[in-house]
This record gives sequence, C-alpha cells and structure tokens, in this order.
Amino acid sequence: MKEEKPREVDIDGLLKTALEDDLPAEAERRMQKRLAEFRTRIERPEQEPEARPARFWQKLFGSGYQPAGVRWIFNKQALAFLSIFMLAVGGFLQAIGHPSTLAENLTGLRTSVSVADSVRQSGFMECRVHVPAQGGVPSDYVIRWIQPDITRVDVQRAEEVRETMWIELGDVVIVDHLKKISQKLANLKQIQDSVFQPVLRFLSPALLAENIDQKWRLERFEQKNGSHQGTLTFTNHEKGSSLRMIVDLDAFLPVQISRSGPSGEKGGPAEEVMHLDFTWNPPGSTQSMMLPKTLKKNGGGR
Amino acid sequence: MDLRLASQETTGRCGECGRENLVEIPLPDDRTFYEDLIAPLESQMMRSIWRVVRQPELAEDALQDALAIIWRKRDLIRRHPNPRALALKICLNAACDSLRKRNRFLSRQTASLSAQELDISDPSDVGRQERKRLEDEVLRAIARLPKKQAAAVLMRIVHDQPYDAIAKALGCSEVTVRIQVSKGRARLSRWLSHLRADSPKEESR
Repeated sequence: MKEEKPREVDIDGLLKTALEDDLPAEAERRMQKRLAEFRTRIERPEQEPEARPARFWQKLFGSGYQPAGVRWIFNKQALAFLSIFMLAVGGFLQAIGHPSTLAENLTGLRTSVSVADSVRQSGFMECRVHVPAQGGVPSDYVIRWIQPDITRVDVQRAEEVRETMWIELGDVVIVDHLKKISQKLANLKQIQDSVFQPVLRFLSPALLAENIDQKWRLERFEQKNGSHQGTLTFTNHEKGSSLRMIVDLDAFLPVQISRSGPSGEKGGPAEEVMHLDFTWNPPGSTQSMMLPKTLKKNGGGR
Repeated sequence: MDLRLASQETTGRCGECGRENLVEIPLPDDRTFYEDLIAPLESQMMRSIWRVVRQPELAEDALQDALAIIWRKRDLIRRHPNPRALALKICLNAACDSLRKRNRFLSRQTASLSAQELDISDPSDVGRQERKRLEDEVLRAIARLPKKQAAAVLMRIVHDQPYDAIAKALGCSEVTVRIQVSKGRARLSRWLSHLRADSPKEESR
C-alpha cells in the first residue's frame, strides 16, 4: 500500500528532540550495576547466590540434577510468568511493604537468566487443574509447560489419561486415547472439543499471568507470621467471583490458585469452581515430559 | 579468571532418567569476548537503550535482555564484520521490546492520551509535561513500527549510523535498509502529524 505523504513534519528533528541523548546519572548508575553483575556472572558462574536468593534459585530452578557448576538454569516459563505477574501485583505489594524482596528477587533472576540462557537444559513446569463436578463428572487436567512454545495437556478422569493435547510451535495435536483417534489442528481456535475449554487460559504461564492481570483486581494480601507463603485475593466484580492465589514469597510464583463463584443467595460460602496446583520443578525425563503414560504403555506415538 | 561457563556443549545422557546432561567446555575466546568487544561498547549500549525507553527500570531490564542476547550470540558477534553495529541493533531491539510491553500495559491501565498540538520549535520552552507527552507519543509511534523497521529508523535517524553498517547489522542489503527507513519515516510522519515540528530541518537524507 502506498504510504501517505508526510504533512510538514520533520521526523528526523522530532525523533532527535524526543529521544535526546540525556542519560540521567541515576539510570546510568543502575545500568552500570547490571553490567557489573553480568560480568561477575560470566566470570564466576559457579558462585552461589547468597542466603535469600539461594532459596529463590532452588525453588525456581530446582537442584540436584544439574551438572556441577550450573545452578541457575534459565527457566523462561517462570520468567514469563513473573514479568507479567509483577505488573499485576508488584505495585500493590510494594505499597504494602514488600519492595526490597520483590526488586531483589526479580533483579537477581534476570541477571542470572542473562547468562544461563546460553546453557539449555530440559525442564518443565506442571499445573494440575481440578474442575469440580457440576452435574457431571469432575475433570482433572495436567498441564505441562515444557518450553515457551511447547505445552502438553492431559485430560484425566479417575486418574486415567483420556485425552492429550500437544501444542508445539502453534500446531495443535489432540489424541483421544480411548477412541484411539488423533487430529491435527492449525491453531487453538479450531479446537471444538469442549473438554479442553476450561484450561485454554492456562496454556502458558504468560497466558495465565496475562489473564490475571487483565480480568482480576487485586483486593488484599495476607501473610502469616514467619510464613514463606502469602495469599493474594483477587476479585472480578462483573462476574462476582473471586480468586485466591497462594504465592511462594521466595520465588513469587503461585503455589495454588482457587477460583470461587459468586456467594450463595443467602450469603453462604462461595462454591469453588476451579482449583490449580503448581509444581515448578517436577523431576522427570524428557520422555515423560512429552508422552503420557497411556501412550508409553501402548508403545505408540503421535 | 575462573571461567567455567559453557560456550560449547557436548551432550551425555544420564543413566538413571535418560535426561540429557550438558558438559561444560570453556572456550578461551569467551575470556576475552566481553573485555575486547562488549566492554568498550558499554556506554553506547546504555545510551542507546535509554534514548528509547527513557525510564530507569525499563532501561535496566532492556539492558539485561540485550546482554542475554549478546552473550547467546557471542560467536556470531565475534565473526560479524561490524560487531559494534550488531550490538547496537540488539540493544535497540531489546529497548523496543520493552517499550512495546510497557505500552501494552499502559494501554490497559490508562485511557489513551488525547493527541494535542505541541509546538517543539524551541525545546527549551516546552514545559516538562508537554515534553513528556511528546516523548510518549514518539515512543508509542516507534513501538508501532515493525521490529526491523524500528531498528533501521533508530539506527539511521537517531544514531546516525551509515546505511552499510545498518545493512550488516540487520543482515540485509543497503537498498532494503533505505526502503525500511523511508517507510518508517513515512509512517511516523503520518502517525505524528498532529505534532507540529518547526525545528530546523536536517539535511535531506
């Protein structure tokens, strides 16, 4: 399409004026600090983070299976969640007195991530979703966030995997293990199987965080004395429902999310409509990440 | 200097779980990569990022992202005919990405600013608030440009890089860069046409 002719605007002058080379001392100091941290990391990658960040790393990245000296394996999924989640709750937590921990953890994470990104190691995160029965059979889902572009969802009934959906670089493959049929879809919009609908918002940590950020308003934060966990309560006034998220305060990642519907007519307790449990570093092999047990038993693949 | 970072990975397999293990093999070049190539560019990197994001927190994060990419691509940068331009491009891309994220966030948080006529004929007379609005409008417009176009425009117009250096950094021909800059300029002119720019025109490029 032909571009319109500019109307008397000196874009070059405008850009140079607006984007002036005027780096303030404060910003320079902060960036210098980042550069120094980065250099330290690449010079001494085996150096353990201290006290609190150490716990943070352990919870985020696990321990025990990495090669010696590589203890800060990058977990893109966790960072994707955090970077959005922090936008949603960061300001609130800061306002109620958690600024240093937040900043320290997120800065530490990003610093190590920068270096660790060059060392790739398989790892995944798991989200178990329970949807209580509403006139039917309860549904359970196990979502494995394997890489930013690879997700596997198992639909379980009575602890048996009934269906599996793989999403890999935009392609969607659904396998019905009972009927032994599979289908390939070009994108998520083509999914007609209603069984997957409840979990389409959880297909990546980033999507989950975006969903919370966009649809829920943070109402309060509670932390028991000495506890490393806190509870964030969000509400959605339009739907009259609420969301309780238990967060690990060392990693600022969710441990549990529970969604409740509107309160009963007589002010009774709200009914839980969905429950999510997160495991951020489950042990497992590459094979177990990709293949559900049902498939391995049958010796089949996609 | 005890450098154990893996720059070349060989794989073995864990006998217990079958998981691939990475064995770290340090390359001597890594020892000097940062000192020789990146350290002299630190100031340029910081400034280039700042000029785009213009917020200390965002600048920090964008710098971090840029460093991650630079480190991941260090072999490419080492062999590149113009490492300086490539590093600049990486920094500008990281800055634009941060900008886009911020804009997405802001667009959800606040009502969009109404476009007002600003007179930037004399920047020193423009009040702080108006100055901020000007910045915001320009940054929003840059964030709307396609990634490659934004990098070409910023490298050419803001950082005065020669076309051949930009072409090398972007991995395309000089002609393509000229087209990208021209299209980017035209788009920005259209989107920012409500800003009256009477500042002295630069030489025709």
